[in-house]
Amino acid sequence: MSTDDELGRLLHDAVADVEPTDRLGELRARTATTRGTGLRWGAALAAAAVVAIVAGVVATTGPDVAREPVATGPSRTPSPTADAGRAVAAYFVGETPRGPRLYREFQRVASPTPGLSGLELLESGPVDPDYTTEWPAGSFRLDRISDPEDGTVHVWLSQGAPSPSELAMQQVVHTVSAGFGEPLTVVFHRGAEQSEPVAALPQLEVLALVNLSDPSEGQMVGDVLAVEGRASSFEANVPWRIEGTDLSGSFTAEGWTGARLFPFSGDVDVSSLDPGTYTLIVETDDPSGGAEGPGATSDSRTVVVP
Amino acid sequence: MLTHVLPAALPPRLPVSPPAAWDADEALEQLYAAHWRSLVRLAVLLVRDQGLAEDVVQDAFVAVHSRWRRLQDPDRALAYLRQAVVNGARSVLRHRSVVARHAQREAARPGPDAPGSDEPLLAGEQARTVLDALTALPRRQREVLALRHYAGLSEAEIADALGISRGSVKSHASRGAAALRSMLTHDPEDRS
Repeated sequence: MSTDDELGRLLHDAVADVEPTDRLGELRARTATTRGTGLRWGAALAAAAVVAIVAGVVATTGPDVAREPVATGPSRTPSPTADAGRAVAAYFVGETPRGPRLYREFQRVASPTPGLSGLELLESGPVDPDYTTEWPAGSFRLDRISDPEDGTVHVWLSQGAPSPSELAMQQVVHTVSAGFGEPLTVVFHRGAEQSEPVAALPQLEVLALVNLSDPSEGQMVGDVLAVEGRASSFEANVPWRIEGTDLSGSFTAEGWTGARLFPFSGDVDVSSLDPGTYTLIVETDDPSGGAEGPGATSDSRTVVVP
Repeated sequence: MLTHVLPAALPPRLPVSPPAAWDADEALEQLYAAHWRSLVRLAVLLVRDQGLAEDVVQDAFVAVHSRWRRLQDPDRALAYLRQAVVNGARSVLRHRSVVARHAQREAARPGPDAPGSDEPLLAGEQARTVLDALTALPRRQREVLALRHYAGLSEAEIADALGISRGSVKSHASRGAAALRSMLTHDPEDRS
């Protein structure tokens, strides 16, 4: 393993002169519980109230909790970690032609706690590099989430957490609802402040219109790539392609004329591909070819053919 | 106060009260003392800029503090810290285009005079070359190389930390190592 040693030495040498400044004092201040807020929570409270009102009107289309396959998980292709832990859904932010929307991503968690594990994922961030989270590490008081009661969950933000945007709050509402398996409203607390209950916005207004569950980012595939996801796409067509190859086709979702996303799935024969890293792209169908409307929404995953 | 005997070769890492008894504030102090420097160095390998690296690691410590009650264990806390550093590094790279900024700064630099104010200690040309090469790698390869060869994690631990399969770790590691070697054996003067 001399080559490994050589790389290790290179990397150690490269940072051997890095002498970090002492930031323990700053850390103590950031983690102290008695600090004042001084942040624009008022604006968020106002936004929260508006969201709650809007959502109240259309409360029948909450998060798609019935379809959260938390127990089954996204990874049908056997992998060394396939039986370790369970898949937990978290909603991250991705760009679409309709502006930033939420994409659901499953991550494997060793022994998940309902609700809490989803919030941890929102903090630790997405695996898919196309997604982002609006909740940096340390945003939540993870020792303080309530159990659902009368359809409401209370979530505490840490003192230093910035006031959440509307989309950030939707990340939490959808993630927590998926975690507990029921549509929930969320009351946000920070110190002594608290928001109005925030309900889920309708799926077609807040979710990306196509979203892959399988494969997971960076997944190794055998001869067959099992694809699964959900979409709201014209005539239920969900075109797919693997970038840099001539492999392409179309999945058919279970529906398209409802105010929600519909599941689709299919197997792609990738036995013809040379070993390498490939990108699977699925899209919503845009019969106008971009001439009308905002254009096609897409989702992608990197897969590895070993 | 250690209740078990450590192998003689290992320095006693945490010679204080049993970790399980720590509250979050104590855990923060102990973890900071033990890992602040090495985690900042790990983050420098990922984001290159020392100031940014410190920000990323500081955020990771804030996160570990907020969930200490669930971690309750220094080893799990360290794994969590590493994961938070990798995710944080990814997020600052994405948001601030550090790579692009750094490239511009390098291009604008007239000669081998004063380094940028944020990297006063990365003086060695060799160190700079290696960090430049790492910056040029695909993100995942850079993460795997740093975790494997700097942090000394096993393939399984890296797979856990990055949420990818061990096979992916293996392939990122071998591709990354090959790419890094080829960049480093390339003429180091050819930087224009």
